[in-house]
Amino acid sequence: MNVNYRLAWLLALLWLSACTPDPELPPETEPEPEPALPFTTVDLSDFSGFQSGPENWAIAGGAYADRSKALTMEPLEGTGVVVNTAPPGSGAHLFTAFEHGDIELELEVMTAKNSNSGIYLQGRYEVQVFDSWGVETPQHSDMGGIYQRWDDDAPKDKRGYEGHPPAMNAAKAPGLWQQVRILFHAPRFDDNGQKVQNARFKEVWLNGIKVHENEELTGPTRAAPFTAEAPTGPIMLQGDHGSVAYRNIRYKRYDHPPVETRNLTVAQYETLQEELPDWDTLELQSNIPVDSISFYQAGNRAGFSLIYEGVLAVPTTGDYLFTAYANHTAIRFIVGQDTLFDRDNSYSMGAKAKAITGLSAGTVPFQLVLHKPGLGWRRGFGLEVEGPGIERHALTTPASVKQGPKPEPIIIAAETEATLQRCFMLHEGKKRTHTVAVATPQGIHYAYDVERGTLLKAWSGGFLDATDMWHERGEAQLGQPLGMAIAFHGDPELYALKDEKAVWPDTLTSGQTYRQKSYELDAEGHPTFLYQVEGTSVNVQHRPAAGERRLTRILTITNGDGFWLKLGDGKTIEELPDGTYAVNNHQYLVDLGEKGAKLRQSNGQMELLLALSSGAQTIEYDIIW
Amino acid sequence: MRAFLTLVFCNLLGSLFAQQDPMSAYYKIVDVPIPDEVVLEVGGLALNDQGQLGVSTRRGEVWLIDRPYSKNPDYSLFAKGLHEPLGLAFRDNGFYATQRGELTRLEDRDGNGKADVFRTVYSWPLSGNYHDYSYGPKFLPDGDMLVTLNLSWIGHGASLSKWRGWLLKITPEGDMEPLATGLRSPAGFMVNEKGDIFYTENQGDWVGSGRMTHLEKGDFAGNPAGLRWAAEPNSPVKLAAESIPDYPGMSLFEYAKKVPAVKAPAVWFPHTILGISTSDILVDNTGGQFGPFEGQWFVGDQGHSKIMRVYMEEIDGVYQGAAFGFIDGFASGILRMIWGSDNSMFVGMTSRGWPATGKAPYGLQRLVWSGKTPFEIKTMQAQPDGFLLTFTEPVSKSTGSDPASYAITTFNYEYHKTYGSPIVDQQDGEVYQVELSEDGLSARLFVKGMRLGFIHQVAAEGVRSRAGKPLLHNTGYYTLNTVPGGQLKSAAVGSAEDEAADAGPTKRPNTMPTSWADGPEVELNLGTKPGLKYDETVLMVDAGAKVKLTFSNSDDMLHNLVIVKPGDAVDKVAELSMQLGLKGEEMNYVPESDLILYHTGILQPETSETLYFTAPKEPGYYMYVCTFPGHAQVMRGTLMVE
Repeated sequence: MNVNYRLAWLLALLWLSACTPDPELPPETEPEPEPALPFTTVDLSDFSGFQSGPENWAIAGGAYADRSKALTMEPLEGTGVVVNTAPPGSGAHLFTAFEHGDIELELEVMTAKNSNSGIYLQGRYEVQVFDSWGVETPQHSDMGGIYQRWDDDAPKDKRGYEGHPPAMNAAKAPGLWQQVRILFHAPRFDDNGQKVQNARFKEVWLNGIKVHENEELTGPTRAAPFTAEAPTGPIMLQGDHGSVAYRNIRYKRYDHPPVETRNLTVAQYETLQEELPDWDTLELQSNIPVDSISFYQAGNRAGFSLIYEGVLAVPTTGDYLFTAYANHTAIRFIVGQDTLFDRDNSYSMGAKAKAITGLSAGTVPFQLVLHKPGLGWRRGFGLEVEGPGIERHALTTPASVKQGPKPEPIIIAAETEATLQRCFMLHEGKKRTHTVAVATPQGIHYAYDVERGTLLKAWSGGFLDATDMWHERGEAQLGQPLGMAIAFHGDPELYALKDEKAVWPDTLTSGQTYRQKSYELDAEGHPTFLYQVEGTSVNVQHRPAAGERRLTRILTITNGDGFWLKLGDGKTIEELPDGTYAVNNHQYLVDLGEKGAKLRQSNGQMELLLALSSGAQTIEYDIIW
Repeated sequence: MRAFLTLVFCNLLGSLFAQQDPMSAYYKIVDVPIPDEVVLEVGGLALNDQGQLGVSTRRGEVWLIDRPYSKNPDYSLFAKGLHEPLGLAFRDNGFYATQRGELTRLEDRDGNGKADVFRTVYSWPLSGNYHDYSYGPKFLPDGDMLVTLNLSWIGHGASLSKWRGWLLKITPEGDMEPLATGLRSPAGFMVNEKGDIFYTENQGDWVGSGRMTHLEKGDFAGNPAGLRWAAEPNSPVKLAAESIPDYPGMSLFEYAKKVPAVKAPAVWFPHTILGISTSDILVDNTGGQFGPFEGQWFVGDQGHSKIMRVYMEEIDGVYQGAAFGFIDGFASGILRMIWGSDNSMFVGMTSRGWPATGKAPYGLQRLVWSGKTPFEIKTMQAQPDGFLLTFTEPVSKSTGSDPASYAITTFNYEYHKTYGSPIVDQQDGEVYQVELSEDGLSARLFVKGMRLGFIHQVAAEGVRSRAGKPLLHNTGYYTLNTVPGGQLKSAAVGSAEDEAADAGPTKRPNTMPTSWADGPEVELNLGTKPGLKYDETVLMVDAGAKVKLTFSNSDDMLHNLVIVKPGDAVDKVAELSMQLGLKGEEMNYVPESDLILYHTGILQPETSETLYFTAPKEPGYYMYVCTFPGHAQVMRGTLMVE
């Protein structure tokens, strides 16, 4: 039971302002990585992870696709990437050596300009891969779409059916690695081989945006190599529609039944005491058997402790990941002898506590304490578990996590002129309180932090959801981008580095005098942001491109002497053959034209910096995603 | 069923609003029409040099209104995208707005009627807490500006980032000087013609009741949260937060006598009698064009949608004065008041997140004097041994000179960490002699039992005009910090006998009847939600059932639970509760009435109370309601007895 026991916390999305860091205090240390159960990775040092290695596919160390050249992709030296270079109409597919039923699959994919491929679950059900950069209204045949089924015998206009377009176009530019995450449920069959349940894409995510949820498929999509449905099949990566590359292919197969709670009882106490009370000194209100765990056991209110006891029926031996979250309710969760969670009531629903513990097949006793002393309108509790071969699932009732009715969304739309809205905005999990969000008629929107003088985010699609600001008291006071948002470094972007090794400041305590001056609107409503850093005046403009995700930044600086401009940071920054930089694991590209930037390793990450010359100057560069 | 209930509820509300303040015969509340597509949640009001009315809104817009005095005003959008600007001013051809995080100057450089330059005059940090509201600017005579910064709210007031809870002075060039702290919720403040600064405060932690305080550089006005920054080199306040005990056991006046940096208020507004959340202050400088109150101060109230009147005096450098009721019945919660060019008063309103007795979510109205003079106590001046009242029209000799026409009561509030305060140390004084002037316009009251540092309620209930009319508002509340000459010469009275409050024990059954051998048959739990709501609007019980009902107040305001008979009993009880006056607090705002079945006390935030009662034998739609003043019209539910 105590084998391989670990405990860790994840405190994310803490909108509760009491816990928001004071901007004047020193920065917190990096949060520990989120506890998670491991994926199985497909080894891409050779083709051993696939049924065969067709000659149109190559093992490479990377891939480069010129955004201006259709269908071309260049494999780069090394391993870890599979690249298909066959032109459309030729080329064989790749099939994984493993087969799967229910599965969680993650991979990264890069397309060439105008290229096309597909990820076929079980070799039958396709999530489309396509160069959909710049597409406004995506179809099922666009990146992230669930491709349509096909019936040759149907009337001509009815041959394609059951295609599902993605919820929004979250596709990035050709040449950028894009993140795909798929949660797939295989079709189910009875003992006679009769299908009793259709295949289902439970979730499909593209570049951090959920583009599908619970899409059911009555059978294989068009051009699937296997037309008969079955409990398992290999994953197929399509190779006959043009150049494409894949990497970081990893998966968890879910072949075991869920964990169950049994012999459940719940004791209830009345208390308004803030800390966990000594329940022995309180009057026991009730102690009854129940069949499920719910926050609402004590009703719609505060002023209680609930103590659930029972056993967990564990299907198989291995590591189990528990996740708990509650709305201003203290949680204590003990499994066997181990206290997995012991957290006070200061957290909101977004702050998820996670812990991993080793369990043996069989049963293990547990105790769960929910203590809700106050803030009765902040309700809800969720407890989830994931195990070896067991998909993450709730141990609480669906109703338990409900927080009450959602308000009608208040949306700020882009207009024919640029539109500005100041708000709080989350950036890397922290609230930026002096943010100006800007919508442009071109559909490229961005958020700029006037307190630090830096670009925070950019996105396309809808502009801003202001519900958290303008509904009732607007307690979160957050503007939420209505699209796939790219986050930039968020640090002060101009800084007089002492030397090339000096650490870039990540807070307001940079020691240099920064003063926001103003912003001015031009005839189309586009703002120019003006600020002063030390004795230097800076004007910042952003020009959106039409028809593609590109934002041109123009900084006019009165005197650049000694200053550096920070263009990006992240775990990786890659210089591409055309001189552009792919920043932070290909989140976006920085195109500096002819300017020579400096790549450096600093403070545990890569940074892309530009040294300014002395005197007045204008720096122009593009951000592409 | 549900639809039926809703309908009944609406009708009840309708009938309640039919009542009109008698003052409306003298001052008319006139709507400034708002286009349907404009969400005019007023944060700030300012006239520009073209005579257009500028309105900043909580959604970050600045509207310019042409012809705001007409029935068809013209709205044009001057600016948008600001962050909840709760103050607006116009100076030197530009608007100034205070956003959450900065003081901003807005200019229309190309003259097309839309702002194109947004200049940051001064920016301050924010914690990210929604309660970090920022107000202003107001101009000092030398052109410098003032802003006030609200405390954050984390279950209590806190200063989570620098200068929360402070009054700041900012030059047009952007140099900032912190002036004073101890502020909690300083939504209303102003500079008088002498250049002295006043702000209004809302009841809350460390604030027993609404009040107005004269702020000078270095002052500490009572809430210690802002003292977190008192050690900063540029802080003029030298006081450590830790030096203030949570329960000093005295009034703020007494504490200020002990600790010189502490500033006692100039005027108290007794909670629920004169509003519950004071806002803007507006001095009548109309030269008599707004009626007989030239030079007096009007104070808005957000929660009660009303305006109070203050007669302020300065005695040997100490400000103090009397507060009176003025007019009720505005459309929404009053945040801003300014004078129009025609000497009518613009009143800007919002109720989002903080419901008000005026039911509209937002509004813009004007208060216009009819030219007729209401019969009122015009002024109330402190004397070493009494008060001098003047009237807006002559009073009859028989009533005006009869001491029995007047009554005086003194009382105070505790200065402590707890939210609000009960009325403490209440004592009746005695008006033993009255000298009425020949013209009948002033009455010199000679009083026993005056006490420095106390609020003096003077009620002239018996006074009639020569035409036999009663006063529209017969009561003034004078905060006596000092007296002319500095020496109080009012004889003491014998200590008043404490009237034991009879809360009717049978109507507040907090213990289970011993006859309930098997315990309660039904256990109900009722909570609260922000915005004056119970968390359940319908509770169901069987007729005659033994009920255990626990009411938990998880809101940040005070609430009670009163169960009343079906029909319009709820409205009658609500009305009775509003008439309790000073007695209200000790009676838990529960009037004595047969219409009431059961009730709790007034519950502090995060407390609960349990009632044990037998449900009525007669099925029907009984109601439950919070009778805390201002809550009863919205905070209701139905107890269905089947």
